[in-house]
Amino acid sequence: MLFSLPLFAKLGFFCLFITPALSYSQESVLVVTSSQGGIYQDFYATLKNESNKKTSLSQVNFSDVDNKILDNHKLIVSIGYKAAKAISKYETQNTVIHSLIPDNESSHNNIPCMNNNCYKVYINQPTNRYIKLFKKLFPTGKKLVLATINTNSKISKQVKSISEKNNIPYKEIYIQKDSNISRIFTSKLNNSDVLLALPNPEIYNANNAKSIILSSYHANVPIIAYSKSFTKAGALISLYSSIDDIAEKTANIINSIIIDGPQRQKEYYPDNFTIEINSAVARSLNIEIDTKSAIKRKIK
Amino acid sequence: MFYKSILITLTIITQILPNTALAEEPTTSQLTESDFFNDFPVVLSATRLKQSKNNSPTATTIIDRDMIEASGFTEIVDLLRLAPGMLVNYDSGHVANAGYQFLLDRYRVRLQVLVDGMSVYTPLLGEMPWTQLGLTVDDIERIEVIRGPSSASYGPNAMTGVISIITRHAVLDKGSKFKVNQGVNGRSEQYFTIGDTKGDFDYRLSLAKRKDDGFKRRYDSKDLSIVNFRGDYQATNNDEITFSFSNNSGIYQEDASDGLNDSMPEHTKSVKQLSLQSKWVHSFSDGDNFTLNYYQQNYNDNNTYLGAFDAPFGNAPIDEGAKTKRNNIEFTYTTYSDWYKLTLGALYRKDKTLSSQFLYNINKDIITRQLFTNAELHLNEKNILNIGLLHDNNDTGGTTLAPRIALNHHINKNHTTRISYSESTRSPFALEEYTNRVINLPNASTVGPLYPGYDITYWEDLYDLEPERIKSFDIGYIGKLNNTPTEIDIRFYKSQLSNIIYLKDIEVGGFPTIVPGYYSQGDAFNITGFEATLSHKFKNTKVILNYAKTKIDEVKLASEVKSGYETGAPENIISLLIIHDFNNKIKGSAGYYHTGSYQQLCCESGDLQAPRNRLDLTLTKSFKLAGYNSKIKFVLQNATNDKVETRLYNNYDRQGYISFSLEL
Repeated sequence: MLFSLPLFAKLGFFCLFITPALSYSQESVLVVTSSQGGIYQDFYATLKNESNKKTSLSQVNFSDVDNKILDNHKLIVSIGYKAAKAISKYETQNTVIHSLIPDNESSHNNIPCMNNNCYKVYINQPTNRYIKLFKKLFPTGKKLVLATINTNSKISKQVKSISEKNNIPYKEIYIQKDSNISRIFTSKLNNSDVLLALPNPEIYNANNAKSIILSSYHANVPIIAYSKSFTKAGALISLYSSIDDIAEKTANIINSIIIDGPQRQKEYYPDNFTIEINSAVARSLNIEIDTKSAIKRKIK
Repeated sequence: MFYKSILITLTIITQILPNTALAEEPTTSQLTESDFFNDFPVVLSATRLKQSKNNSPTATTIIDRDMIEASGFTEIVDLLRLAPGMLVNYDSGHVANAGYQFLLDRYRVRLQVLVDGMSVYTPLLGEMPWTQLGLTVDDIERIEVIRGPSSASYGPNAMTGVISIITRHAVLDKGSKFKVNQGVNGRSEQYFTIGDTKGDFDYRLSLAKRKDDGFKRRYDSKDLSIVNFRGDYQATNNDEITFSFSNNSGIYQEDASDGLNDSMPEHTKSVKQLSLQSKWVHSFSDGDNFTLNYYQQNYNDNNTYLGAFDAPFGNAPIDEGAKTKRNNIEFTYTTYSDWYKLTLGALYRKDKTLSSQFLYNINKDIITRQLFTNAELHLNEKNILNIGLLHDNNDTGGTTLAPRIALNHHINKNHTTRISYSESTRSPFALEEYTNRVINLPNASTVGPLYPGYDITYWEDLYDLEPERIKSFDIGYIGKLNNTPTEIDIRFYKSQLSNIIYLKDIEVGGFPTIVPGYYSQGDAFNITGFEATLSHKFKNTKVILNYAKTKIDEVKLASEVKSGYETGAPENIISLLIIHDFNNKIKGSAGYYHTGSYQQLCCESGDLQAPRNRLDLTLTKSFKLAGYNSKIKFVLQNATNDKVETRLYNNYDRQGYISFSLEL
């Protein structure tokens, strides 16, 4: 049957069954950014550098996207929450990588994956990485404290479970919405605690940061935080992935998909991370701390 | 019609536009990449950080919020009992004195006392007006007691140490709080605090009314109204501006305290304190920062009475009041690297004092100019060298240099030793340098040629005084026992004090009641001592034990007047604070305070106080009242009713109060 088909049909059939990688290699990758400047531009630049040289990347702002543009690209990479949310509304059947998005319930709801060709690269760190950091810094005598607005959240359960497995004393501070954050922290923290500040804008935001940092500091409680600026503001240490780290990870996934086709793993955390220490705070709280590189080595 | 249409259109647009814009923004509760990469304002700039005790050139005690609340004290000065070597004494129910190691008199405090960096002693007498501070115990976040000469950092008057009171950042007191303390001895205190955030501006306003009857056998009640405002404005991520304002208006009963001043009848006086402060802290991105601090401090002491002198002098109007105004501007720049921390600074201060009888016809400002530098050099992993130098020039003390050098050796991460040498000074205060105390006695001329007129000068300015000086040598140890929550802080010291200023009496027969005199100087003495703090944290209990042993000897007197310097310091001072958390929202504490025998020279000359012991107990229960956080606290002070007979009758009888607070 096959041999009786015209030549062009045979070729078409061959193309259909040949590795999907080939079809990607012939398409350019559309990078949809949440904005055109700042971190998104940095991300795009790193993505371009780290991607396979044969891959052609083109950038568009999420507000300029339409079905036609999306259909013309077999591989679409969204950068940032807004871009991811916009792309997910189009329900494209093409391969999509949502990068630079947070891993939390709300994000999962707002950025659904419509098909099996959907990948996510998170900004967050895997919870276990923070627990390792805590254990490295405070092997004994300290209690890990997590502030949460929902004690049944995925992250609460994860931290609790990993802490229990590692025999780490653990407590939760429950924050009611619209409550007086500084009073809660002042009354609940004591000097054997270490506050693990994981990203949650209802707790940690520019308005509350001051009161939380000061309350913790006055209670002699060091903060393990999730961003560089949190450390600069007054946390003891932070563990985070930079824009370059996340862009690199995203480029690796693009390269893998292009070369090897669809990937089994759908959700990724950045492999590389940075440790930032506020040595002035460490000195002030009388905490002996290793160098950034030594800590990083031990956590990896 | 046209304009009306435009107006309607504009109104519709303004109603729609914000909604359209918001629709594109994620809600504030939505976590996005901006939460990871946006800047937070710098909260813990280096100026707000506590210097590690292990690296400090001077022994330092921190009295934190937990200790403050557990102590049950409502007078700020009493909190100093929680630092080793601190002496607290009361001349009357509202005249409190505090000294480090020794207490020569209520005036001429040889400590620098700072409230958020604002120097608060009075320029006239050098007195520390503890009761007149424009804040209450509840406004305080912590007190740092720097034990040892510190003029190299804080200028003259930081002769024996520094008490740095740090108030709570406004952001920590959001919401409203009411507190009422009601107790025996006429104690009635009401506090109201409100705090909020408006954009980048955090503010707290505290209002307080406090009164009590003072000591049982004295005419020394007080009735105070206190206002304290603090605003913290985060101008940019690296710039914070703090504004503060405080006012303390008080009515005080005054008596002659059993013969110390027989001419003074029982009367009332009023004192108003007003302060304004503005502080700008700029943090550079590399961690360096500079601070510009301006403040104004005013005291208006209105104290007049009709002095009742012996015949033939009769009655005379006495005015012991004074008006003082301090304007101070200070600039510091601090730079950090891995191996050093360097602070450079300059200060300009103008103290104006007017007092109709203490400084009769004298109207002189005291200008102070300072340049200072302090460096913390990390020589290697184990050794830190602290070097400090302050150049001071002022109108009463002339030019002085105050150096300090200290080497801290970290034996390992848990054990540190310190060896230091420092020199400090105290410049004469306005009354000492320019004294011209004159009273008007209408009948004086009838006594004879000794009293030629009505205006009698009985304190004269005879000498140009030099600054008092101290040289101090200190060896310290700070340790933590094998990673346990047990901390030890030990200090041995030897200090030489010289050029001590004193009021010398003139022997004149027939002069009425108050003996005439002049300020002179030249006395000297040595102080040697040992201090230790042991603190331990059990599971639910915290214990802080302080001990100080002090000896004054090698007294050299310039005058032939018997001084009593040797007994100016108690041999032993002990304080013990135990804080226990009973877990079911009940906290308890016990504070024991022992002061050995000593005499406060000015007012109790010849009267050696017997050792004093005081036991204070507190019990606090937290609960919800109509959904609001509430606390009830029971405080019993001097539970054993320990009493010591002194001429000042300055004994706290056993007394207690109940405190109730509600947070809205």
